[in-house]
Amino acid sequence: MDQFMDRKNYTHRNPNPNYTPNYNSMQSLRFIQALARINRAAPKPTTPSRRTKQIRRAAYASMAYTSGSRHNWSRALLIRLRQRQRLRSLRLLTVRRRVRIVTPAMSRPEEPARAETLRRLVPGGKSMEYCNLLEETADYMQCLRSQVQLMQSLVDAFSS
Amino acid sequence: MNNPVDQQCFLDLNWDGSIDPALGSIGEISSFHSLYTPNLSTNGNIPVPQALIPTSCFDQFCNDSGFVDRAVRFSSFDGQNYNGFCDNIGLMGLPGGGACVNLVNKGQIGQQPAVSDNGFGSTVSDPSASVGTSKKRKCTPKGKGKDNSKEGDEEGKNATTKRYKGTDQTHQVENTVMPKVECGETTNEDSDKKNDKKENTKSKSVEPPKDYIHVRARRGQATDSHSLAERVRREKISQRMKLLQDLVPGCNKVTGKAVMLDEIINYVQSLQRQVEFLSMKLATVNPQLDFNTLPCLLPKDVHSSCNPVFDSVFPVETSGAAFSLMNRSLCAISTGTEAHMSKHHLSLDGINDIIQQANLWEANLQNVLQVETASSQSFQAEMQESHMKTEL
Repeated sequence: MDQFMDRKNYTHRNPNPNYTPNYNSMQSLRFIQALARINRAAPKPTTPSRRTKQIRRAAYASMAYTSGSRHNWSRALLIRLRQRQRLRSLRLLTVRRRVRIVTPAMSRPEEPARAETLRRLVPGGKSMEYCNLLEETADYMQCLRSQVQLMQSLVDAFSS
Repeated sequence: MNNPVDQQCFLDLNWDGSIDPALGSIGEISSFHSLYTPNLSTNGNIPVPQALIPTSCFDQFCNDSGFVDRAVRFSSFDGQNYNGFCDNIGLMGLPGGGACVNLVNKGQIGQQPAVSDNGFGSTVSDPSASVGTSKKRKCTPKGKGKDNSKEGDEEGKNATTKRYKGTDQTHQVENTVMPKVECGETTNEDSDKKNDKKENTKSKSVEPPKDYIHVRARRGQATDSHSLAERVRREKISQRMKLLQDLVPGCNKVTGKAVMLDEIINYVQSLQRQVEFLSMKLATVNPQLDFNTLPCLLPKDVHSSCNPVFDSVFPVETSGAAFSLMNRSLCAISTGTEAHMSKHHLSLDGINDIIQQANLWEANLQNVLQVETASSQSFQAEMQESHMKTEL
């Protein structure tokens, strides 16, 4: 997936002089390409659940690649995806999934109680300070929302 | 100055400088202080006008910049809570201390200040009341928040009930015009020393000599590095909470950090669940897509706007199922998401560019596919599909 997600290849081929690579267009492009790849592999017998997972992974990957290294959550997400990709190729992922590093809940007493839940939700949130966590949450929320809108419009297009 | 009326005038006017300037500011304050010390020393000469001190003139104190300058010079105490402070200093030792405390008491709480030293410490120990009153004194909380860089959180939170042992004296000198009535010894040090702890340019008051043990700083921000840093941190957190409040829909009426945090968590969880659900839907919808129904997918306007795109696309197109899907989905997205997206605008230009880029990508892909799929059946099927599309 990495080879097709390289932003440089696309920007210099774009003949449109007004083209500005804004976030949504990049995200849409990546996600749709990923979908195309998954659909290309559709003739193979893939169960719906597996395709669901592939599509979900493609959704998060498109989010993470589009955000790039700008945010902690995208970096953490990319690292997680690449790790899982390597482990998947080595067929070790099933074992890895059960390993959970438990962060002590009392490590940050000055935060509100729900901060730990937020840390679990936002990728890479375990090691961030609280105010950085809030900033990352804001950006992550925006990306998630645009991804959801993208997928929703795709579903509407395909099912109508 | 012995009349209660005069004292009221004194409070109102004398701080403008009508007092004999030969006395100097020290004289003023000491004379002012002398008004109050009889109260403590049970001197009946001057009826203590504490009951006469109106809160309005207290405000006038705040407005008087001359008084502020003098107060700054002679005291280093924040205008919020002098009570614990005056425990330490003793009223006699500090010319402005008793006055400040009394003023603060009157202005803030409206209580009768205690007559004795112990009384000062005990009576006006009402931290909560001091916060709301005298809004002019409330200059520092916001400003000081930026000044703090390295302070602990306990002092900031429990300022009223805590005792700052040894060094800390709670106050900050803000650069704005908000006057602060300050009681303290190290007045000279305040103006001279600037704390270099902060990234801000606001001057910080220096720590007073070690005589003061009890310092209550409810509204006054603590001067030690811990509470200052903590205040900066809290300011940042509140800014980010406001930002998040704008992002999360329907959170305008929610107040309070805990509820806000719950809303944020719910929203992120719902978004993630939606991604899961939509990916499931996409997984089931995609392979069932029928090419005959594809023309019906697009509304007319999109059709017209995307037609030039199609014309340019078709020569390159190899009618891969995914690619046709991509074209239509991109066009549908352009219409669908334009209605949704407010912040990120997905323009048709962007869509066209996406399609062109996807063309290039798909062209490469198709070449690869042609190499891979040696069978002509799939290729002919693709060619048939391309014919179908050209008819559109």
